[in-house]
Amino acid sequence: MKIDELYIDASIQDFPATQRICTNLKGSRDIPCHIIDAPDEMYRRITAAQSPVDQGKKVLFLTRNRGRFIRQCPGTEYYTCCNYMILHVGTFCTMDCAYCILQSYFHPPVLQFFVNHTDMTAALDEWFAQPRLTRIGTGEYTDSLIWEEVYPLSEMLISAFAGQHRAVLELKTKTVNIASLLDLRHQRKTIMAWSLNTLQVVAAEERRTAGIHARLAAAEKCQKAGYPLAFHFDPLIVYPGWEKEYQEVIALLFSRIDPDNIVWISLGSFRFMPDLKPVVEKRFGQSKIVYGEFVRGIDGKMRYFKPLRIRMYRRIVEMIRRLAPGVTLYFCMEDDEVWQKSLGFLPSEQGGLPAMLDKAAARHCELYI
Amino acid sequence: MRLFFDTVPIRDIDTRDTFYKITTAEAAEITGLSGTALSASIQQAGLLSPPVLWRRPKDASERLPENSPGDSPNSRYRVVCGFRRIAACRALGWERIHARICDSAAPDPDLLLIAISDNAFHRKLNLMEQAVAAAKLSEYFKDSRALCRCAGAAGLALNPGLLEKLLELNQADGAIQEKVALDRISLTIGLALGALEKPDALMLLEIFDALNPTLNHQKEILRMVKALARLNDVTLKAVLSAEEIRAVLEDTEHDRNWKIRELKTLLRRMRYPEMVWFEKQYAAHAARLKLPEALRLIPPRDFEGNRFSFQGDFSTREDFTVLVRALERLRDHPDFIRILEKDFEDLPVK
Ligand code: SF4
Repeated sequence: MKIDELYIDASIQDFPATQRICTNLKGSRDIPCHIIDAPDEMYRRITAAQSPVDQGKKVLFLTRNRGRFIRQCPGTEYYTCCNYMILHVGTFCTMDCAYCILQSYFHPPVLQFFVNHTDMTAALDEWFAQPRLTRIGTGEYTDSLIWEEVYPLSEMLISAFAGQHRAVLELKTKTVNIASLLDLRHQRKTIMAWSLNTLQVVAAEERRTAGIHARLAAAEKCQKAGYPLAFHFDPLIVYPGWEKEYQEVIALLFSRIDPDNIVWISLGSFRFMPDLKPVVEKRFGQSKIVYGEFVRGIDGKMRYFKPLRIRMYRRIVEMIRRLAPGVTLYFCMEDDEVWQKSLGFLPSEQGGLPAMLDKAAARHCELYI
Repeated sequence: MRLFFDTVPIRDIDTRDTFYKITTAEAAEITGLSGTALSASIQQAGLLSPPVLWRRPKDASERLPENSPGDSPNSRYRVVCGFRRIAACRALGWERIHARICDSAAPDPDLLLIAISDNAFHRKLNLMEQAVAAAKLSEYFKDSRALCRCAGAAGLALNPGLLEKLLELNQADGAIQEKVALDRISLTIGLALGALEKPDALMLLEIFDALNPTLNHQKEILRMVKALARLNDVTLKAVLSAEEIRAVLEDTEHDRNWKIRELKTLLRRMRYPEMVWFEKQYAAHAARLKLPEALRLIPPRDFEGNRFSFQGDFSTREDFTVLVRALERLRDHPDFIRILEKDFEDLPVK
């Protein structure tokens, strides 16, 4: 990880997490550090940079989460949403994927890490006290494990979730930063999850992420350590040869991972807000991903032409079901037509997508109300 | 700056020094006022608006551009504005001309602004003239807002965004500049072409010039050609050199509207093979429904949603009955069922 500049919100400069991150981050390097009362000037400098996204990936802002720590994943009405909850621990990412929606999501894009962990713990305690099953993840506005080297946030979260039985934590990552997590007491209340893609997509479209073999090796270690696992084939990308290459990575997955230990596998085809396209064109000159056969979806996002999506999903579902017939498969933000034509059933037949996933979580992670 | 009127020998004016010149050849083409017409007008009405000249310092050598030929060894004046008027008077055989003279101490940016306002207050500057003016001014103004303010006062309305585009246009290939100046292509397209490799840009320029598509069509064509080039790792020129496309472009039977339509259809088929195939299947099934002309089946936009609709025109009960019967017939029609299911053949794998 290469952080060139550190900004610290003056109001949290004495927090233990701040102190620890500063010490660990600086190590042998001398990183310029600014204590600031307001972030406006920092935001202005990032926005004014030649490439705000590149600049934003080098600047870490330690601050407090002034909003809600636990919030609903932003779904849309037309496409089926899974009612996922986000634990908002930070924003943006040190890795760099061509398709990453965060490039055009934050204005400006900036790495933030929230250090008011007492507030976060209080929010979690309150959440755990409610009599309902929930799935919560930290990997929506950032990658779940990028800060492991400098701060043991996941360790803290895994312990917190281990002490209750109503919610499951999903740590979603493209890293292999799991060494410090293997010996923790997790009580199967944390799902270790990896995004997977073909070797070609990883090599061409994902900068600074761990390779697929390394991700699966890390998943295997977590499996040995008793963690339940999940995988996300998202974004699925159509390109010449995609079928064969997804087949290869699926075979690879099940050659190392026990399907019975997989809580769910999600499938999502590449989709993006139109304003991401010029960013990808500018930052990833060789990438072809934005030149697929896209149409504007009902939520305003560009998506592959539906018959093409369905064909792709059908093939991937077939490949997975052949090797893992019992695994819970679901689509991220698709409609009934896609579900019916690709998976052969509607979420409503299983009580709705949230209930279907809650059930899978309850079974694998021993959740109960 | 001191300005005064004087009558000076034409041979003392250096018209080859175009330091302050912003008028393009295309401007004359657009205004339609040829040199001969201007001469005729001057001969009849006299020189109503005298040119503005800058008097070189006595020892002018260091302010003269290197190798400046001058129209005579004694060229004492550089033209600030009025190149065509001077040329017209010269063509009439005049030896002296009435002019406004700026003294040698006048600063260059002020003289440039005079040149701009002399043109801008008489007619609308074409985009290339605006680009030349902007580029010349930008040598003297580091702050783009200050530049825009001064240009505005001289009759050239600029904003920082437009300024940036004009400066880019000023760097573009001459062929692109010429078409922008003539308004054959828009500034947006000119800049987009300017960012391409020269052979690609020139080929597209030739096509746009020949077919004169609307701005939206130009954008659409450019977008598709660029995407196809990227997808296939070839140049834009190679995309446009495909046999089918060449056949359309070189066709001599049809008019430009047909060519534009065909070109777009071909490009779309190459760019969106799945979509075009699906639409074709849909159209074939829809045709077999044999709906009366007054009844139209409207599919969901891009086939993304699932809601189909009908649009029917009727003015009498009889018309209405025809529509209702046609709708009735559809219920069990196998093609209608496949349309609702969006159940068509897949695009054959090549
Ligand atoms: S790992 Fe995830 S969050 Fe990070 S850049 Fe890639 S897509 Fe974005």
